[in-house]
Amino acid sequence: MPHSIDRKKYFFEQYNQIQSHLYAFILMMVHNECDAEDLLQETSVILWERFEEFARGANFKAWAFAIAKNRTFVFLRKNKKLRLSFMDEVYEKIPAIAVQILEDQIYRVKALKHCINKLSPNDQQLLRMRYKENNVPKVLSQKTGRSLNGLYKSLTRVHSLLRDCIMRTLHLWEIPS
Amino acid sequence: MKDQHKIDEYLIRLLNNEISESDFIQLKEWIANNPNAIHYYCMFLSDYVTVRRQVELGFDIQDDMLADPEILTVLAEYEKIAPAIEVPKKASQRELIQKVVYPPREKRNVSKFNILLLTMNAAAIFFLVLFISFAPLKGGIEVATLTDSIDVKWADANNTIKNGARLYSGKTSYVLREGLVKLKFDNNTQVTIEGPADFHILDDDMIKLNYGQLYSQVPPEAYGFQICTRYAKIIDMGTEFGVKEGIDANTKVHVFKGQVNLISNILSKKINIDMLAGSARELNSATGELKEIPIENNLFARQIDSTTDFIWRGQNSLNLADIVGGGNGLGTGAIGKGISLTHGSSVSDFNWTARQGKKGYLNVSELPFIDGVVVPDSEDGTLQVSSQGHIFRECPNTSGLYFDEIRNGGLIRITDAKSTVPMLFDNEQYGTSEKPLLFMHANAGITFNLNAIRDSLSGISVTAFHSRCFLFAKPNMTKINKNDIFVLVDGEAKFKKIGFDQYGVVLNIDIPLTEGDHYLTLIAADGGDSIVLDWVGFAEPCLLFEANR
Repeated sequence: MPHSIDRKKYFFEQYNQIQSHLYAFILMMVHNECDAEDLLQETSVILWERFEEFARGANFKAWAFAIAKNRTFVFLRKNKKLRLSFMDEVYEKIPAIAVQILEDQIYRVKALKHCINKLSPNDQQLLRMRYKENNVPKVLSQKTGRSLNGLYKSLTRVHSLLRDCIMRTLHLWEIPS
Repeated sequence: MKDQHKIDEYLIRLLNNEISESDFIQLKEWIANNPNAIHYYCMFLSDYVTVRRQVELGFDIQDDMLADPEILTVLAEYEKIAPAIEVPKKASQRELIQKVVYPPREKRNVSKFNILLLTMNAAAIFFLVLFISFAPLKGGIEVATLTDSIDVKWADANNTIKNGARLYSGKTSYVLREGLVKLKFDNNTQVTIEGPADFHILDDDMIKLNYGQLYSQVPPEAYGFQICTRYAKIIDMGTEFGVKEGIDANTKVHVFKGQVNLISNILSKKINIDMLAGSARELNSATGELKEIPIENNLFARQIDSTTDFIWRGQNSLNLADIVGGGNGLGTGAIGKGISLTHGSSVSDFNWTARQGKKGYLNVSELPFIDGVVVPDSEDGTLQVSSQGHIFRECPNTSGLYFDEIRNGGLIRITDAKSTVPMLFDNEQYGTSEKPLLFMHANAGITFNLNAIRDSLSGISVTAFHSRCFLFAKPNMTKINKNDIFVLVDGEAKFKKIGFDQYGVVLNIDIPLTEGDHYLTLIAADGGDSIVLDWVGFAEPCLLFEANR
């Protein structure tokens, strides 16, 4: 049965609200950005196809995460020999921890916004070239004439700075981090 | 955590599929051997996604910085001199990443110009350091303005904050002993805080309430504004809500519009609930229990206006009789007090005498919500009824006399007994705080300035005027006299009753008002048969409100 316009609108409203968390969840499961993006796309299609099963007013996020979890387990099983993998029990533990972390994310996001503007212009530029212009590290290293190792060190340093700043900010706000 | 930076680097490489097998094995072992590793891993990836998303959405990078090609060179230079990070030694395994050998650093040629420039920079830095050392400490960034206050006493008498002052984020604690303040954040969120209260502003969209009560009006553009108390966070989701934090750290949240998210974690009792408009809850700080409580619509000061001492607590109507009594419409006026039809000024004493009214419209300057008063009388049917020159074109030709002032409540004089009786109608006394009465013995007219009222109640729409009009009678009265009753909006009659002489009958008056209506005028005229016994009362005269978003 085709979805009504109202139902479509409802789906996209719900999906848009959780898309970022859904991606983070999938990334935690597959720890590879390309695979996570593909799986997010696949999951969104499945969600849409099975949306008729979803009752309005039910917890869309929980429903979507359950489907994403199944998809990622299938993916991990199928590709186990082709990719680097942690122990199985790690993947079994990740979903519960991920859900808890993503639920408490609101303050970290706020703190991050605060921190990201405190970065030096150089560090902001690095983030922009990497994530906004979507240059993968190899391309970025060629564009900047820098070693790949050096580039990773820079990215690591900036992410670490942000993490430390988030912790300090949450502490200032008296929010458990 | 030991080697945290190295772990971070492994994780970033892993996400980009550029981790060597040996590094992955180290990472795998770290996860297997560290009980907190999975949590750390998930948290790191969650932050990673958030950083990525924020950068994709754009953040405040100066465009001229981006255009500077030297930045990348500087970045490369930094990496050459950056301190090394120790890596846990492991048996050599197959390396996937090519090692890079940096060229030796070039020796710089330093010109005299550069030396001069350096000297000047050093001087500039010296003065900058001096400035920072002696400039007043402000603790954070400017995030809000104190826009208004009423009867304020700050705890630190030497550090009072005046209207218009900018407030800073940070740890500065503002302790309000008494009174009310209104803050406007730069994101247009308005917060009204009632003393005694202790608060500090954490950020441009976050305030911490240590105790006291506040009311928050969050516009759509500031969605996500937060109030933190000692044990709870209340996050706006398109809202108007009030928070009361007790000395005992119990938190009461009342939601009046929209929705909020309430989060708490006391004694491991995790609470994360959405509260809808019309609901209220109390969080017990000792037990962590959250219970539903009845919503108190008038608990919080929602709007204040120091020019009129107006404090609005969510009442949905404004009492016009109270305004005539010198009040703000919410019960601060004096019963019996009125406005002279001769001078346009406040009066408290009674002087029951038939007098010739002053011709023409009298501006009332001392009461901001009242535009003016008039003794209605016209030979050609026209009468000015506002300071802006609005003309009422159906004004009756009256005696031009009046007998009493326009009053908040009043008394009826019994001439023979030289005494007074209260205003009784249907065995109930009017002119009290419970049953307010705008008393207008003919001939009398009064105009209220709706725009002035709106200005005091920003965010409020005045939607209607409502009253019940009737005639008061003296005991054992046998004579009947006529009255003409009019209610005008911008000079145009919206209600009229000509020759009204039915004692005991109530005229229900309901007049819708729109934002374009500026003046409301009430008129009691003598009906053409003298002013004797024309005791006209507008019972419970009120303007009805609706709060806007």
